[in-house]
Amino acid sequence: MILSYIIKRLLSALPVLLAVSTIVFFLIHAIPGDPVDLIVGEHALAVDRAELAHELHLDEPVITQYGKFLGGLATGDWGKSIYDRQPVLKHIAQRFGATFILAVCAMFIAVAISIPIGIVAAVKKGSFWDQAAMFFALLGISIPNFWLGPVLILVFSVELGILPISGRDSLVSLILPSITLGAALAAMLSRLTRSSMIEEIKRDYVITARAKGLSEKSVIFKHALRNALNPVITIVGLQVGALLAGTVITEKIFNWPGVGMLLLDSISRRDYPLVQGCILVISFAYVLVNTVTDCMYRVADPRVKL
Amino acid sequence: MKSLTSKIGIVIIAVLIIAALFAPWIAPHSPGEYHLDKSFAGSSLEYPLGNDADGRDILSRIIYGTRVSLGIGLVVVSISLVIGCIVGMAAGYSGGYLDKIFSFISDVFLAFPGFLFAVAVAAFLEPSVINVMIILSIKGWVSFARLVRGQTLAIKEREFIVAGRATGLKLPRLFFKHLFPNMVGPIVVNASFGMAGVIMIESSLSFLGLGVPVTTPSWGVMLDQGTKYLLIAPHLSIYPGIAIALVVLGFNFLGDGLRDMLAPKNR
Repeated sequence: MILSYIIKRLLSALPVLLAVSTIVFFLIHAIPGDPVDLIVGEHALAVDRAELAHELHLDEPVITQYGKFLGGLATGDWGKSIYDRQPVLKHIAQRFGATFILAVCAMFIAVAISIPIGIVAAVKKGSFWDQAAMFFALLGISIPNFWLGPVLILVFSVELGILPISGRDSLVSLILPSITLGAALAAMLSRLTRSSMIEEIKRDYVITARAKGLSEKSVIFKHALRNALNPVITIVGLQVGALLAGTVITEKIFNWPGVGMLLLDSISRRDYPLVQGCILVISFAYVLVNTVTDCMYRVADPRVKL
Repeated sequence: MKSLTSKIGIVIIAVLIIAALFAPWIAPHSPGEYHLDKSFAGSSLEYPLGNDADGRDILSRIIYGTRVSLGIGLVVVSISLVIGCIVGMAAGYSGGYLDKIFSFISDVFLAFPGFLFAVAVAAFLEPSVINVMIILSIKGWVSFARLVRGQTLAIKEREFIVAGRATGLKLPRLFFKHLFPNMVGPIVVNASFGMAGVIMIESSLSFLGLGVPVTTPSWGVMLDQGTKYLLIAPHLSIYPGIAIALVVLGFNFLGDGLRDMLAPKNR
């Protein structure tokens, strides 16, 4: 039953993937002006222009182009980079690992920081610690990561000299980019854990648990927390998208060789097939993660109907 | 609003609005004035926050920057609000196919992280203030529409709406005189958080060179230019970043305060 639900849920993600691909396709075709002009400039030779138009299928009707585009997506032919003629998927495959590691570390840091903070704030609701935690959480949501990143570099790399400024040489170089990327999520999840815990602590089963003499530790961690984490899991899944999109900025600041940097480089080189590929791969990853979290959520919480 | 944070939010926003409205009188210098002899200069009496790479006054550029941030925020949130209200009420009130189509469209929009969507569109357009407004509005209306749809579903079966329908009220009147006033609260809360979000995305886009043109005194552009000189002149990036954080914090504080005021049980 669970398996059939998972399959059904994965299938239901297909129309969304199709719609996302369609939007990206028509976005590129809605650019004002001739894409060939944008890529090679207005003064290029007619022969070169025709060759490029042919390679990008621009000399065919839009509907045929659209068909070929979807066919290519499904069969793993995402086109070639205009810049170096290498397949788009090859470029993405080279970079995806770096982005994936960064996103996972940021997520790990965010969850590891936020859940304890949220629990303490909820249990000590109204106390100084609660107010301080929530103030910093709101601050964390409001600080742009493209400011936090440079400030972290100034403090930890320039002043203290303990962490590398940029690049991807060792595990240590992961620390600052992960914090930069995960800070906003950590702030958001602490707020969410707190409000979710406050809701649960008020419920009857918690009163029962206390009445039958369970220790406070057991009441909070074994009973309330397990129920309070459900909405947190859902939001973590939804926020993976923001996290993946945020890698564009974090990768720029720390010169991190992931899909985000590839996207920015391709934009500045007007390498549209590659731009399209990067956007698609990030969106696909997002849809997939959401689908998987949704499944996990329902498997973890038997009360939710499959 | 009783909480301290929402009061702080109101004060921050008020100060920024005054700065935006009266920028030419408040700013000590013109934002585009070059003083090449003052490149990277630190704080001085004449230039309280120092000078940037071209010797331009950082304080004046930040003051003029409020116009870009608040202006774009206000326009985008207004457009999103109007479109979102109309679509949301129509979808929620009529139900059926219209509602199904809307739900699918909003699912697709949600499948794109907001910032990535903005980057995707901006990648294909020339940097300009108008383009940024369009880009952010394309997705901005969805959150309002979802909210308004939900509210409409909750309210439409209540007696006063049924009575209004029974007396033969025309739809626009029913929508805006009877439905809308009953959901102003959540919409205002959403608008406040919306301002924070739009300002953040605008400055992020400008930081990546995909937002407003580089000549505009925008905080995101200033940060982008500043981080190039991070190691020799950190003040170029520190101050515009504080400005962004303050305005976003202000709208988040306000949104939190308004929400608590409207739903005191969640406080």
